[in-house]
Amino acid sequence: MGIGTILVGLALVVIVAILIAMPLLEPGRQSVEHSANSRERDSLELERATIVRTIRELDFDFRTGKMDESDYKVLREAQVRRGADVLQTLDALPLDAPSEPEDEAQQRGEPDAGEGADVPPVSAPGACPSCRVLIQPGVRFCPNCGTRIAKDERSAITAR
Amino acid sequence: MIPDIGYIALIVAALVCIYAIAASLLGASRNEERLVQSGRTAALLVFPLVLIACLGLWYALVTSDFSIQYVAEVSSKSTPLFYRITALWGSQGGSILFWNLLMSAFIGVAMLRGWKEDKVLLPYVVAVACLVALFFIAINIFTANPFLRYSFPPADGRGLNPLLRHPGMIIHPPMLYAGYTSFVIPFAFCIASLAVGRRDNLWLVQSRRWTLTGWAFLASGLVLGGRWAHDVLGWGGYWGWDPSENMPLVSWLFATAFLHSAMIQEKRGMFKNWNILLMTFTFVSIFFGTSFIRSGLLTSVHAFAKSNLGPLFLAFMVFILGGTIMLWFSRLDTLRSENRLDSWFSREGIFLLQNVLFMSTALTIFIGTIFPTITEAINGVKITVGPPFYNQVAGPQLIVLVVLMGIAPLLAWRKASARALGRLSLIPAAAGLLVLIILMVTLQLLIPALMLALCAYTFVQTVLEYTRGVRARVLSHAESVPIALLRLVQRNQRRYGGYLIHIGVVLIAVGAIGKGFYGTDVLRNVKLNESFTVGSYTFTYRGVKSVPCEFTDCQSTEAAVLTTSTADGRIIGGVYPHRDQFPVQQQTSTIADITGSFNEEVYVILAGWENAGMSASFQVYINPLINWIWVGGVVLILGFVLAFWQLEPLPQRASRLASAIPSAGAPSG
Repeated sequence: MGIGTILVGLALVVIVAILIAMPLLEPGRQSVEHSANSRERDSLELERATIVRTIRELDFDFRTGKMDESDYKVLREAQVRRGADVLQTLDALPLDAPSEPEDEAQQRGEPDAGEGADVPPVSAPGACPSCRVLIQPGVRFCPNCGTRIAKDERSAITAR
Repeated sequence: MIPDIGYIALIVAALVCIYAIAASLLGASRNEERLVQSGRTAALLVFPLVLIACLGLWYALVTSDFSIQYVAEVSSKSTPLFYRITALWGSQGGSILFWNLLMSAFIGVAMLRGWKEDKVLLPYVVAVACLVALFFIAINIFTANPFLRYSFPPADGRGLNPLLRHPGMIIHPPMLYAGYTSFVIPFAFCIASLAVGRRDNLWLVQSRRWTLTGWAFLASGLVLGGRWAHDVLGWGGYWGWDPSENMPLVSWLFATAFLHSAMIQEKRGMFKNWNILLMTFTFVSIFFGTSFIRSGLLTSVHAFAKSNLGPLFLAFMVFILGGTIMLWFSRLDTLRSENRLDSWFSREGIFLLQNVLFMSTALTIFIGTIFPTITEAINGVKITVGPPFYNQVAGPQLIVLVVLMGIAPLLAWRKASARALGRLSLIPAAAGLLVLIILMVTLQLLIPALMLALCAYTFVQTVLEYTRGVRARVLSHAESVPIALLRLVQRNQRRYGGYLIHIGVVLIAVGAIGKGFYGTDVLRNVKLNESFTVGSYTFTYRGVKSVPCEFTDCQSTEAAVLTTSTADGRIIGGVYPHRDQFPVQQQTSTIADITGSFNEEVYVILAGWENAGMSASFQVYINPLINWIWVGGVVLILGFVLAFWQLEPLPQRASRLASAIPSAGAPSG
């Protein structure tokens, strides 16, 4: 092995060492672990996304004739109730970090508009503020996109 | 000098892996972000370092530096440039270096992704992925070093193994290796989730695309391997239940079971333990298969890859398996199912049945493959398990899986309706019955006719899944059919990509049944200008002659055979099968010539000749429907692309469903 090879090898080691050391030299000392609160929130958000997806699947299966109406109603009702419980638990959790932007939630694999998703051309009365799908009065979350319906919006929908 | 720099880069890559493992684990235990980020950067740097090593070896191959043992072993002065480049994975040391390149690339891509809510998994993902990478890099450094030099270099190299001089070799090994190596990422996520004790589906959601990627690479590697065997090995088939085929198939079956089972965990919070086991089986089976094939314990068409690496692979596999099982046991309390199976007559019920079948098929093939080794270890006699065993034991299970593939989409999640299943099955069942009647009337073979009828059922049913969805959209959204189809697929690419994959699998099954049951093969010795008939073809032998070989280190002899249709005497054309002899490697390649039609392939091999060509022997295979296997492979990959690649959504327009959702029976929240 010639001296040139050894010098190139050394240069490689130095470059790698500098690159690896760079994060160590950055100011600030963040925590790797999320707080228990944050972990719980992440899990609940995942569950919320799953429930929304399940409702959409139920709607689609019903519309394509794979389910009896009685089964569909019972199962959908159960999912909507479960979704409301999840949102209630989420509401009860104290916020320890700013909530993430919507596009990040999308990246995480959460559903966008689903098979049952429809957007009226104008903001219809009683529509979800996010995806604009028409929703039932008094619902706590949009069964299409999972967006939380705030209390004042809920009462506005109910009043309408 | 350049290859030496490559070797140094490999050593640095190993050191960087060690640092990445230490820094990320230390960062996790001290809860220090900077250490974890430093470990992540180290993991990211493994790829460029291994790339430098690969470039070093490629440089030596391209410049024919025969002082390097590996270069002299896999290339010669006459080897075309193209094959010098692909010779990187032509033998043991280079193929492991190439394996390292792919694995480090996947690790690098995983490190570059945005880590947000899953940041808690990062240190363990880095540690597991780098540990596996370290094992393979260490093998390259200590056991299978492709940079070793001769004290007295030879004037010329041996040249590449003739079996590997095929265009399929450009992509078959890379695809299979990519499939194997990409599973390091979902496996790392699985271990990381266990390590931090997560109860949710985070690891499944985050590693979903990786699993799908590894699965698709394995599938395309298997199909391309079949094509390579069909073209190069000269035996008329595409699948011989060889250990080198069986082992990736076992991994693929485990991965397929996982992909379906993961859906149940995502939707119902069930099968958490089962999914961890399936991911572990998938990953460990990759090690097991590689170790067996490379150890020489099994006789395989990949015997050229024989080495002393088997025990090392097995030891590492035992370490991985033992560690995973211990970790899994310690987390059993976090892995309880969130739901129970509401009804066996549901999609999750049928998925469970599919899972059992996938597992039993994989284990059948696995046991058949290792059986000769087990019997040799017990009583010193190697009892080989041949294709009849696999065809009779694994074949029926695979056909049942094809049928379940058709039924499963008809069942709703949680609770299906028997009435709906009956109604929706009407047209597919009629199609299956029609196929059965036509085949029984024309060909009069019950078993393949039944199998093809079942394939017809699944095919029609899967196509109808698209039409049902389109119809629902057309009715509720007032969209044109093409727009409805586009939007339907766009809104659930996973589902409709999956259905396309199902169609691909059915087409592969059709090809396999056609070749397996309706195919014929005949060996004939004929005199010059003598004719013989096979099926509906007549072959007339016109003599042999020496022809220029594609490669300079071989001698080629070609036979001319005129092929005519027996039915109408129409001349189909000449076929020119040839045999290439490679004196240096002492090998002979039998290259078939293929004619016939898309639905019926005629595959002719020159088996030998006597008296300067006054007589010759030919093996003729009539392979009905075999081309559907390759078409199915392409459809399967298209399905993967659809399921993987997120399309840009089309602009949404007004629709009538807006008011229909609540009235469809949706109770209020």
